[in-house]
Formats: sequence, structure tokens, C-alpha cells
Amino acid sequence: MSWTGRAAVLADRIATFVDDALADRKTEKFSSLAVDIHRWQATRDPVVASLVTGPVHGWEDVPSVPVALFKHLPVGTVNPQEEGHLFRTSGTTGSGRGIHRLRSTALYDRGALGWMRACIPGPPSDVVALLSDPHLTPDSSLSHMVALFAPPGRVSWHMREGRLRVDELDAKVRSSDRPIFVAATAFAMAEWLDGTVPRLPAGSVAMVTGGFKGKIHKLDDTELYAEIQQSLQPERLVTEYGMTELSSQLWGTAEGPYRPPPWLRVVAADPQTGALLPPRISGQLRFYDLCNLDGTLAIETMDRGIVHVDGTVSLQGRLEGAPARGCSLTVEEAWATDGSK
Amino acid sequence: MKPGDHGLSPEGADEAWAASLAALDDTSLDQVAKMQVDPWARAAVVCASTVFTAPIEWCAVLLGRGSEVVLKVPGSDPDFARVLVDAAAATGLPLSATTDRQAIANCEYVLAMGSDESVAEIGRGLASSVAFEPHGHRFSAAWICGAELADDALIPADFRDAVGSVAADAALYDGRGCLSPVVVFTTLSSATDELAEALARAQDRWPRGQISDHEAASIRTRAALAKVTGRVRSGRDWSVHELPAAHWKPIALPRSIALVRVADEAEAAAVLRPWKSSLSTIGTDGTWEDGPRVCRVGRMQRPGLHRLHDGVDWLRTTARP
Repeated sequence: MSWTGRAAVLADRIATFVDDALADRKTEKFSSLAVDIHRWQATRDPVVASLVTGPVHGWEDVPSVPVALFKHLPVGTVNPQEEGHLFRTSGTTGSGRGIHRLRSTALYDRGALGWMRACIPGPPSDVVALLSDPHLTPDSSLSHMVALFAPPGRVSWHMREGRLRVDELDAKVRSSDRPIFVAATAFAMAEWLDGTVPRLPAGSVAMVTGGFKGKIHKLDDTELYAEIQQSLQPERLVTEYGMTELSSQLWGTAEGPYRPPPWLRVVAADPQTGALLPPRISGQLRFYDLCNLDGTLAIETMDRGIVHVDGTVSLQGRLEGAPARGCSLTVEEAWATDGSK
Repeated sequence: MKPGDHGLSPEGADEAWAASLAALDDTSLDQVAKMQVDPWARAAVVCASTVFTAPIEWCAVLLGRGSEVVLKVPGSDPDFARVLVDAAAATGLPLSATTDRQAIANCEYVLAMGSDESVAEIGRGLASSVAFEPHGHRFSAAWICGAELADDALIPADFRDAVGSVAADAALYDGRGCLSPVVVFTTLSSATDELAEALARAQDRWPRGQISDHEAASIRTRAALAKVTGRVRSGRDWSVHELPAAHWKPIALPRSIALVRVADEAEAAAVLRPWKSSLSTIGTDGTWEDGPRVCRVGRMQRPGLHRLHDGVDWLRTTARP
């Protein structure tokens, strides 16, 4: 499936923006393209239309859709059953999983691969993924993204049926005689490091994504990165931040902030009022992603962070003060369950 | 001396104190005293961090019967426990307070309030001989059908109509207690606007206290859902989120109440059914067929001593069987 009519015009503009940005050419103005995308989305998506409260003159006026709404409503401009591709947030039940429908992954793929190569110059062309094969879990945006990083046949997948296949992973790494790109979630990486892991071939890259999201693990992020450096000894350790509801990703390092691509703007908002904050003030993060043509341009998360003057982002975890668990579910918990015990 | 306000406004904290002490009237305490029971020698009350006055009635009953009581409090407000301990000491009653969970290990009876996970953890740490009474995650709901309500002097004067009573219940403790209504089920077409007006009055009388960043963001998130699927009425520090039943989940948000329109009690009961095991109280202006505790709206967070608490006859369990 591909775009037609007005959507095709916008898709073309977005693709040109991405290509120009990656080539360091002057791009169309972010704000004007963002506003045009929003205005088109508002005519096609009742969710976005309902959230418009006033005139939209610039990208910062575009209303953001809270991530939790994706678990409740068909957010986006693609009708259910009409998608060309579909990504779902993680979860084990049918209810409570957010859905991102796309007519085509063309923009997603263009931006994801291009920005990864811009942030990780000369990446290895063999990928070892502590993830499930996207042929088996086609709704995983993370697996889809990682599959882009190598030619077909040059990616091995080592998570099946929810279990990390450590023996075959170790064997794969040991048998590799050239640099590899290891892609893992923080949890999978930590699980692998619980054992005795082989050192990566010289020139390898280790990618970690996801953090521990408030779940308890004996290692925190800093400790995990230190363990990776010590045990796997990659030439480069990179961090990735993305989400199912977006089409673009941010890349960082263990020491530094995340870099968004030029077609993605991040802003912090005051959690108490929703008002946008200037750079360097910690707040609730919102993302404005030009490549999210089929979804929604602007997403509001429950993550806290600081947006620096140069647009890079330092993450600070989840917003504090989830309802005292004495008597209440959090919004995320409630909307991820149907109540049955 | 007043303890820390637990994030409530001064007016909200005063109202919380008044409501909790109002339950300890002479008639109720006399009725408790007349119960033929054998008190525990040593009992513990493990408090949650939400409703700071919750332990008062439990301590009053246990101490009144002659039990020695250990109050295990969250580390966040030792001042409050000191107030109770000092008051008990002034009358020679054996109440002590601690933030150390180990201090409850040698008690015969342990009452624990908190999340399902924390009360389960407490239970796992106790000997099998200990009488353990856990009270974990719960929520409450209101059912308004337009029936005629009797007056009730324990409810603030301007809030004795049905919707006003719901607002008063929701305002107390800023809606964080498990007895607080998180949703109103109603057949009344005017309920959203009436509840909005009542919450505004409640805000004037007992301003909302501090809320966390997560709570504030969660209120905006649910407001977005209600804007798309239903209706929102809101003002300074309060809101009503009218939602279809299919999009309602039991989430407690301070001074933000969900409202679900139903055809009748049966439909409301059907919406609640998946959550029945977590239901504490139904407050109503009419009747409700099946609930662990059913009371008049306005009295949800102003319960009398003689009631079931999460379906438990707590006046019996706070003594030897």
C-alpha cells in the first residue's frame, strides 16, 4: 500500500526533507511541513481533531496525543484493516497494546536507516540481534528497525518464544570473524551478561535500547553500560531511544545525550500544566516526528527529560509520583488490563 | 498540634481530621465496648501513605479493648504518628510508633493497609500463627439515580444533595483513599454539569493540595480520552471526565472523577464486574444490590465504626476469634 492524493504529496515532501537533512542540504522549514502534516491528519483522524483547541501556527501549537491513548483508540490516519503494516507496543494480551498503523514503511525505513548511519558512521554489516525475528513478530517495530541495518541473510535473531537463546548467541559471536552490530534491549543484554559472554570481534558496535523502565533489575543503566564495556568490549557502545508510536529514533552514547534526527523535534512540558518549557528545564517529553505521517505528528510520553539548547535530549526516567500504590492503579497499569485477576 | 498535611491543603487536612474524629462518637464507641470480645495482647497497624488518618479508628478500637498497639508508619510522616502516640500516652494507653517493619514481628494480630504487593510482602514475613488482615488495592464508585436522599448531619451542609455528596466524598483526602469515589455511574442527564458545579464548590471550600507530576499528567491524559470519546468539564484543580463504559478503568486521580452514563443499576454493575474483587464501597442515593459496603453518598469517606471494611467485619477481626 502507498500514499495517494494529498498524503502522497506530503510523503514526498517528508522524504525530501529527510534526504536533504542527511545530505546536509538546506531543508524545507520544519514548522511549515509539520503544520501541513497536522492539518491533513486533523481531517483524517478524529482523535487529533478532538484535541485541537485553537489555531495552529507552528509546530509547537500542534496538540500532542498522550501515548496511553494508543491503547484505547485507533490513533492515526489509517483505518483498521486497511494498514499496509502494523506495529504494536509490547505486551502479552490482546487488550492494552497500543497500535501504530502505517500505509507503508517507506518513510520509517528511510529515516531509521539514514539516521542510524549518520550517528554510527561505518556500522558493521553483520547484525546479531537479541530480539525476535520480525518474520515471527512482524508487529515489533524494534525488530523491523534492526532488520534494516544489514542486508537480508546478514542478521541473526536470538530471541524466540520470549526466551533468549544464549548458547546459540554465544556460538554466533564466537564464530564471527568480522565486526558485528549487536542489538539488544537492556533486559536482554543484562540477561546475556548474567553468564560468561564472549568478547565481541574488534570493531563491533553494541546497541542498547529501552532502559529498565522502572522495573527492578540488579543493574541500573550505568552499571549495565560498564558491564558491557568490560565484558563485551565493543569498539562503540550506543544507546537508542524509540517507541512504537513514533517512526523515528534518537541515538546516544553511554556518556552523552540522545540526538534526534533533524525531522524530529523534542520539547519538555511542565507536567503540572502542560505548558511548554524552554530548553534546559526538566519536564515531560513530547515528540514531533515528521515521518509519522500515518500516525500522529505529536506524541506526549510519561517520560521526564531535559532538552538541551542544541536539541539533544537527556532522559531522566518516568515522571515521579505514580499514584501511591496503596489504593490505585496508575493510568498505564489500568489501561493495560481488563481487570480480571 | 496538627501533623504534616500529607500534601493536602490546610483546609483539606482540617476536614480530614474532622471527618476521622467524627466517627469516634460516644454512641459508636459504647457499642464497640459492649461487644463480648477477647482482645489481642499485642497488635500492629501498618499504615499506607495515602489516607493519613486511617489508623485512628483501628487504634481507637484496639486500644479501647486493652490491646498494646504498634503503629508502623511510612517514613514520610513520623510527625503524625507522634501526635497519636503522645495523645495515647497522655491517657496511659500503650501505643508506640515505628518505621521499622521488623518491629511488628512479635505481634499476635497485624493489620496491613497498602498496595497488593506491599501487604503480600508483609504477610510473607509473618509467622503462620499471626492473625494477618491485609487490605490491599481497592477503589470505590458512586451510583446516582435521582432517588430522594435523607439528610445527614455528618456531611458538610452545602453538600448533602446527591451530587454534592459525591463531590464531598471525592474532595476528602483529594480522592486518594480507597473509599473515595473514582467514578460516578448515573442515569441523570444533568449529572456531569451538576458534578462540575459541586466540585468547583468543593475546591472553593477545601482547595486541592499538591499533586505529583505523574498524577497531573495522568489527569491530562484521561482528559484527552474524554475529549475524544465523551466530554470534559474542568476548572482550577478539578475535572469531570465523562467517558463511555468501554473506555473507563478504575483510576484514582485527585479531584478528577470519571462519569459513566448507564441505563440502570444492572448496567453499572456489569461495568464494574471485572473489577469486583477490588471494589470497596458503593455510595448511592438509592439502593445497590450487591457490594462489600453500600452506603449513602457523602458517607463513603465518612464511615461509621460499624461497617464492613472490604467485606470484613473489622470490629470482630480486631479481637481474638
